[in-house]
Amino acid sequence: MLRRRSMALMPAALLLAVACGHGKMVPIEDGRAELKADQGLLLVHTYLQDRFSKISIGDAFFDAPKPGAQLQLMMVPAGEYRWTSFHQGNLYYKLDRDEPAYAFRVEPGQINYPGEMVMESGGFNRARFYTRNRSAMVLRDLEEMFPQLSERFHVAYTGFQRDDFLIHYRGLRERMAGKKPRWVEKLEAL
Amino acid sequence: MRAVTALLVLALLSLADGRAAVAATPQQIAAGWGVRRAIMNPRGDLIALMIRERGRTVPRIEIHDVQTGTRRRVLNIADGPRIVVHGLRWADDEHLILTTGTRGLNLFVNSSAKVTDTLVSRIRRAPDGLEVSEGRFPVEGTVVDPLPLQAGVVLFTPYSELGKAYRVSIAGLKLAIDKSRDAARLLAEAELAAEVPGEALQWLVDPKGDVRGCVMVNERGMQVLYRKPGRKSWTVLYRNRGRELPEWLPLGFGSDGTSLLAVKGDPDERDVLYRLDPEAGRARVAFSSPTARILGVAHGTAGEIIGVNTQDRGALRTHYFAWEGERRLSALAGELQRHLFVVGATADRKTLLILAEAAHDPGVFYHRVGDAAPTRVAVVAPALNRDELARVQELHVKGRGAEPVQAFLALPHGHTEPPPLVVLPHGGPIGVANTHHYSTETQFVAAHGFAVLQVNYRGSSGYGRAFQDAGKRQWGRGIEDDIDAAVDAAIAGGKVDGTRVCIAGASYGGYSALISVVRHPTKYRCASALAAPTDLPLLFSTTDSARSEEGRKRWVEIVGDPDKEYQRMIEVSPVYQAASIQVPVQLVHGMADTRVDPEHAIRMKLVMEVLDKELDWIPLKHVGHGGWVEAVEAQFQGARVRFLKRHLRKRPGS
Repeated sequence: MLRRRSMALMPAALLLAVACGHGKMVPIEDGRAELKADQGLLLVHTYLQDRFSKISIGDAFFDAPKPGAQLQLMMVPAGEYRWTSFHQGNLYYKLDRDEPAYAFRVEPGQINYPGEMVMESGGFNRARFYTRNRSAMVLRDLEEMFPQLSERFHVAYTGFQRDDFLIHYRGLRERMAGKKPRWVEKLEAL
Repeated sequence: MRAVTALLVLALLSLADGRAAVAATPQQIAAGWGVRRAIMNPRGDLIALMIRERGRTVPRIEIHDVQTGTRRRVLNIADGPRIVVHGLRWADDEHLILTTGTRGLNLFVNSSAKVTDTLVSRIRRAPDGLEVSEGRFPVEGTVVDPLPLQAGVVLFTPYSELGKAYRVSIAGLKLAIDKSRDAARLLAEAELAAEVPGEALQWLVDPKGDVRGCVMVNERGMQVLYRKPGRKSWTVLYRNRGRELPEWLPLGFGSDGTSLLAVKGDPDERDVLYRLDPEAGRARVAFSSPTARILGVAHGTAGEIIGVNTQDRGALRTHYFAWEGERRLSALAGELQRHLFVVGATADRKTLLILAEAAHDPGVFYHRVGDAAPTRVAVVAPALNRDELARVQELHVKGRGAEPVQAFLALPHGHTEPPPLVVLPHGGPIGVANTHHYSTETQFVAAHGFAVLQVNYRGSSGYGRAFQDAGKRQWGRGIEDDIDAAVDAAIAGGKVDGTRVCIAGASYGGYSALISVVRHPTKYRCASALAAPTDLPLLFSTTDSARSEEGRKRWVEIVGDPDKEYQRMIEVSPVYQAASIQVPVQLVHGMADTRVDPEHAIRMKLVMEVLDKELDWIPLKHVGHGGWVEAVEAQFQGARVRFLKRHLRKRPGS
């Protein structure tokens, strides 16, 4: 359980970053993205029980998604990232920098899914933050929200712990693509 | 001679119960209307009964007067779908406490509610019967100890002050309350019995009623605190970082008032009960067994610890400390072919409340004073005709592991030819077991005409530490080898139809069902999986209990290390092996499950759909991993039985 802190105690460099924004993370609004060779797409999946103003990943700040389950796609430089802080006006929660579950990668030329970041309110000034891998659950929403991008780019899980499900599922889909469904075969056999 | 008389009386009373019943329909079995619990006051002359009624969520509470054999209803609380009853306890000879709660937003999980109402009933003997007056606590909180030896006083922790325990008088409580005024008065008049610098998870009260120990958590972690009699300051006995289990889990003070009875925090070490001497810093073994797993301690009606409750080789047993009646009780149990549980015992052990039950009998409560013949107090689920319930037999199977495996085969009532078989592997898989006691689930499935097989595969508790350890990292391998061996033995016995077999389970049992139809594409006709893990590495990035370092270590020990054994785990993950499945699969999953995240079920569903496999998909909104309310349980049990019937009804060639 994390305790909320005041911005008055925040390091000056971070304060400057909050104020200026970073500009490296570009939200995809219109379902189109032209990636440079060193860029990837980041699927930001959040479930927040409280309202926040800003969230930071590494030293980049962006507007916090609304409370409840939210999906957002962003164009970001490839590299190693980490969830770092959640801000509510002058107050903020700083996440443990040694927690491996908050770290993830962005590989170029693909949609990178680092898992869902969950914030559970724990009463006054307290909250619990954790990530959970919901690759399969998010896949259908992604395909509905960004049909063109999900056709153009592979989706890969790049969060905590190795997970090959999306690769396995893509392989099964490709293998079964030309096959007749069981009910058609049964109908034809009549 | 006296024992024989008692035996005859018990036997006759049991027969009478059977004749009074109507039928053992699946609905009757699932509902279990009638008495569910009975608790005796410290003096042993009044018994509170918790009774489940048709059409009501909240149980009825009645007082059974042992002297007159009459009953009187008390604590009549309004019914409602959001009301949860947490507990019923005697505070002393005259005061009965009922705690209820209101479910939060999650209507489908009992544990989402906290105590919001504490009701007190004062029951006194009057010339014309029992005289009852009732009251209500004006403060939300928990009665942490009823202090049964201190008349009219309980130990109470308000939710607003989780680090404090007050000695509160319950004698003057009234039903009509002015919350703010009465709350202020209650706490102002109460004596602060103990205070700790954190949130108290458990208060430990010595036999004299003094608060002498506490399991507490604060920013510095979890601590077990102790203090000498009459002292205000605490000594830290044990400390742990975070909210992880402490090295010791204290269960209560021993009868000497100094020693603490405790088990080790490590779940694998629950086969030894220790007596800790906090002042000398020593630990001695108070109870140990090569096979039994300790479930908790048994209390007398005066709150004292009288024994240790265990699960041992497929049975629940209580080992009493220094009680000569134990031997007579176990002899009587053997004669009656019933398990006898002392659910209430006065301080002198002369007056007992006993539950007599068996795998085919949900039980009867008896009251016994000294050597007198026992009298029947209440029948559990009286509408169920015991003669129509499935009879359960034990199987001892030579598995493929080093140790033989115990299994239970329930055969449905009234079958003329071998019935189809439903295999129900239990959850866990480590440290859990099926027992040879009455099981609503088993009887419900059997009442639909199925034989039911439950297997205590390697990893199950109650067979010793080596057997339990042998199940670790055996997901989809050694555990299922044991289940296969038991299924083969049941079929070879000729009592079930080996051509009509399905496998069904919840949590690990659901996983076992799925991986069994992967391992044996034609052995089973169908598989039903509830809340089942389907992707073993995924457990490490979704499961609530694997988020902490300690929790993750435990999962690595039980399942395997995803960093080092990823491929081996994939080989036994149904999501990756679904192409081998040739039979219909039912997937049921609570969408609010935090132990086995719904992601597991969604993955399996996607894979089954893309492979064009037959799937019965039942997502349960707002439902967690367990602790379901009865409506959800009924919905699931009904859907599962319909699925089983669909696939087990037809005989081969028909």
